[in-house]
Amino acid sequence: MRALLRVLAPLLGLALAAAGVLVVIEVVAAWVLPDTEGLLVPWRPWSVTLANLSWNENPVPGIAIGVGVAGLLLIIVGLAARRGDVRLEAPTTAMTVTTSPRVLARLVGTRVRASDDVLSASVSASARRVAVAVLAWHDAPPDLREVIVGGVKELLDALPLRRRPRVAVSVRKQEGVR
Amino acid sequence: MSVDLTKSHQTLPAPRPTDARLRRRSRSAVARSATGDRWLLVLIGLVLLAVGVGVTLLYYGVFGSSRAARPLLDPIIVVTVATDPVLWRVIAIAGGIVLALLGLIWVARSVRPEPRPDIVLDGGPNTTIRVSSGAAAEAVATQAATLPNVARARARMVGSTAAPALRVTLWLTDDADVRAVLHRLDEEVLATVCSALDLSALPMAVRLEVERPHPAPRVA
Amino acid sequence: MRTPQAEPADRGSLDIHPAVLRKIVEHAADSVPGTLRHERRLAGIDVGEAGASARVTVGPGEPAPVDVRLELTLRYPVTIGNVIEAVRAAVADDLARLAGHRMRALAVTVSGLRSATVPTRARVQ
Repeated sequence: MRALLRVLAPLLGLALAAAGVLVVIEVVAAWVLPDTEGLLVPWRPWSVTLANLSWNENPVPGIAIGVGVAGLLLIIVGLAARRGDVRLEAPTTAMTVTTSPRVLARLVGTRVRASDDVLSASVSASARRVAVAVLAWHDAPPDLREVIVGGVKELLDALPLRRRPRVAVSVRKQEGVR
Repeated sequence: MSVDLTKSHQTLPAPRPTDARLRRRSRSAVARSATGDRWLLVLIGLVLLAVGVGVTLLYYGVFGSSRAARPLLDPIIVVTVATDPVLWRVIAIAGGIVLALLGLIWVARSVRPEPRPDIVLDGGPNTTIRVSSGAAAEAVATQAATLPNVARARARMVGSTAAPALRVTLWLTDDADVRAVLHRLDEEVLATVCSALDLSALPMAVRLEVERPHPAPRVA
Repeated sequence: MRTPQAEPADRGSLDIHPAVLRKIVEHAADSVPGTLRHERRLAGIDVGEAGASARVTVGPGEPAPVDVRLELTLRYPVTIGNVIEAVRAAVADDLARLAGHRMRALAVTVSGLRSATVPTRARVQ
């Protein structure tokens, strides 16, 4: 999302600048050379069309909905382009320590997959929640889920995280022979 | 008793910035701020959304069917402009210039790369000392990489010349004790750079990564 | 009739070329403990070692004051302020003693900070 923001922001800035420049050029051209067609923008035929079109005719609603949707998309990108950093405790106030949810997921995944009873595991992590979906061998002990939850919590406690994420583990058993 | 004459010209060291200010500077050093871009996007989005919703409501006659029947280029507007064309032309030109300037400023700020400030030290009268940002950053990164359980380290100066800060990325080994590494980073690396540059404090933003373990080489 | 000769001190003048002044400054800076020689690279290829590099501007006036710009590599960790102070003293001293110039302004850029224990070049025996 932040990459999209990096691209959209300068494009919007350019569009605004271009609009401003166009307005200046057209107004000056119309002032200096009256009775001529627009220099870059055919504003005379446009103004005729606009004068003959009323708000309750097509294609006004279509365009309006399009504009509204574009605005909504911009709002969504603007609000969603946040960093999802996971904050950690620092030994001094002059330091701020962060890591990415990806790193947290890596650490948890490595720990979970180290168990012999685990066939595969997929982890999704954020600062607030760590969710692990485990596929276990069919002969895995029944308390595997509790063991994994305990292990993940132990790992998270060893990290100086600002806020301890909630841990959710789900275990599915694989049919068949190992 | 010997007197250190070399220090006689030096001014008193600058007071240590407050803890709150240090914390704020280290927080903003974590990554390049995108707040301005984000809020401008939201603002433009709100304007577009408002226009879209307003016109759609108008179409459906919420504001009255007589209003909806008026043309887009309302005769009222045409008459208003025709009564004093010069005034409206000037307004349009001024507005266009302002819009163009704002747009260009926004593009320039968005596209400009994050500055890497040098550190300026007080060398006394007629002496200026400037430590290049690359030199300071490389020194920090080299020392950080020597810490135990740190596989790789990268550092760069961020902020401004008046308020510099460090951004350090550490790649830790799988078995690292994070608390201990951070402690040593503060006691050794940060302390060393502060004493070398004669700074009472230098805010630092640390990003932690995990180093991918290299597969063991196969021996034929 | 012969014109009387001027006093010995006013006979002739000695103008020292800025390149010589530069060498004096660089040599003085290199002699200060704490400065290092660093490898010079040209398009990525090692072309030898170099110490401090200086740019000297001679101002107007009598005796002509000299403004010095220095680019240095220092050892790390070291208290930079102290080393620069020593550099200033050494350069001013040498300029006055060897060239009769007074150093006016000194602008130092520290472009490298190297740990003495880390080898600057790995060599394969």
